[in-house]
Amino acid sequence: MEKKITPRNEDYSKWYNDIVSEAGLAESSDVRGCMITQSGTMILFQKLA
Amino acid sequence: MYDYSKWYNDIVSEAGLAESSDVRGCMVIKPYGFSIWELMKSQLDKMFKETGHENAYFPLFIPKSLFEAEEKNAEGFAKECAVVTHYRLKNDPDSKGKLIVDPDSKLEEELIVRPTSEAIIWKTYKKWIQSYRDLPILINQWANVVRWEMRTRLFLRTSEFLWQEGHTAHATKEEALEETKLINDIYSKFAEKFMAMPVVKGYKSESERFAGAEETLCIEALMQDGKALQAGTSHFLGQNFAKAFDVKYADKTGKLEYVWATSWGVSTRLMGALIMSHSDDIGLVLPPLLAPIQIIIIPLIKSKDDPKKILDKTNELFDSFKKLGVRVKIDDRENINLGFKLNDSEVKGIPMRIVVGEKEIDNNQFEVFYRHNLKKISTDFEGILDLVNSSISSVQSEMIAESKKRLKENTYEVNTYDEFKELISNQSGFVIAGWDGTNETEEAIKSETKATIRCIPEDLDYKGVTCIYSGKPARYKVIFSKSY
Repeated sequence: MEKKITPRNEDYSKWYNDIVSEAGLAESSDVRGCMITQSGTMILFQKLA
Repeated sequence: MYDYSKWYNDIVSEAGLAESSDVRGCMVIKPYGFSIWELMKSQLDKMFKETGHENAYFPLFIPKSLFEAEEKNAEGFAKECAVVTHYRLKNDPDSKGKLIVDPDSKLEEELIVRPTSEAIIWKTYKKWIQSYRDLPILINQWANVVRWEMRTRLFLRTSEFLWQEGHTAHATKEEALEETKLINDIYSKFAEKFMAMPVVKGYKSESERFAGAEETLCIEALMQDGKALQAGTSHFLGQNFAKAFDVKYADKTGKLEYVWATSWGVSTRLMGALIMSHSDDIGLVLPPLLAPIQIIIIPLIKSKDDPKKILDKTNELFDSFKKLGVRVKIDDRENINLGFKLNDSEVKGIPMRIVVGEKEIDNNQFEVFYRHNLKKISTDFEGILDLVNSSISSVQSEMIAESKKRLKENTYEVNTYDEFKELISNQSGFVIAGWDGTNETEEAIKSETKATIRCIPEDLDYKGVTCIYSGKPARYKVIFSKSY
């Protein structure tokens, strides 16, 4: 199934959320305002550090 | 007077590893201590990644309703949980400049500061797992956790500590059991090879198991004072968390099955184990592979000397060590005398040291001082690099051999309760003995001698052995000891 990413000129905020979710970077959790960082992001984050 | 506990605190403080803080039971890990932890961390991280694990990060807070879902786990940790009930402060109307908790900010549902993360992670795995294609999940998290402790000691037991916690999900029981063992073997290998701390591997008895686990594997190390220290645990969680959070996967035929789980962890407690394994009355002793500074160069400039000549030689050495990948530092602090610098490097446990002065340069004769055995080896300038480079592995091996010898010399096997009591009361080390496998016997021995079953090694033959306490046929041969 092809991944659906909202075009930026349509809704920039939704586009951002789609990128984070479809690229498997993070997702929201059962704790309000706390996110789960997935493995790919951790590697990116470690490279930034 | 023999005071092992004060000695330990002195080492931690004098070597600049950590100090207690204004928060009861919480410590400040100082830069030198933290850099040792970072070396441990990067090595373990490498070993986890080599075996297919990935890192991720889950929330610090766990809603109470999730936390209580797996009952045994919740019950086991309930008494040591920090709980968030409010999310806002406000100015105290009765006292200027002071803050109070805003009663209007009370949370509908309390949040638990994680003592361990199974609950939040398995709630997430429910979203991630539908079919056998989603398995296995092999995730590790480096994090802090909080377990409210009444009696704390730097690194060994603190209310907040740093650790890694692995949480894996598998399609079959066999695969989960294999994972549990794989990790315990990684821990054991890390402890022996890098910490120069040989350990005993085995299963925990039921009473010592992790809350919510079906089986707990562990590594146990023997400290210099004859007490055991649990250095790492790896748990087979069965389907307990899958059932608590309703995590099922569809197998190839489409049939739904509960997922099998493991979890495993080592913490900053390893720092305590490392300190107590090797250090002496002078100070800290570190194995080279975990030493933030493997060799220190001290330039010795007397008033009649040409400083440039000495500093050039020092820098030349420094650059060559750097190029070789040796962790090196120059102690060029001014207005600090040589005696102080020598002592400082010994208290900090820096494995090797070279003093570079006019005399050494003129005679082309340098001495490498070794912290672990306090011996010196002389070499000309051309030979220094080779000597130091090969010493990293030879010192490491010598320290491993020394620790193995100590472990062997302080492990006893007994057949009678009298012998057992004698050894335990003298805090002699690990005592191997037959156990009938009952909780009653384990409890009785614990209350009479303070010794606990540290682990049940897999390979000890118990045929024909009787239980030292009940005299009944033994179900296992186990290792008893007093412990940290």
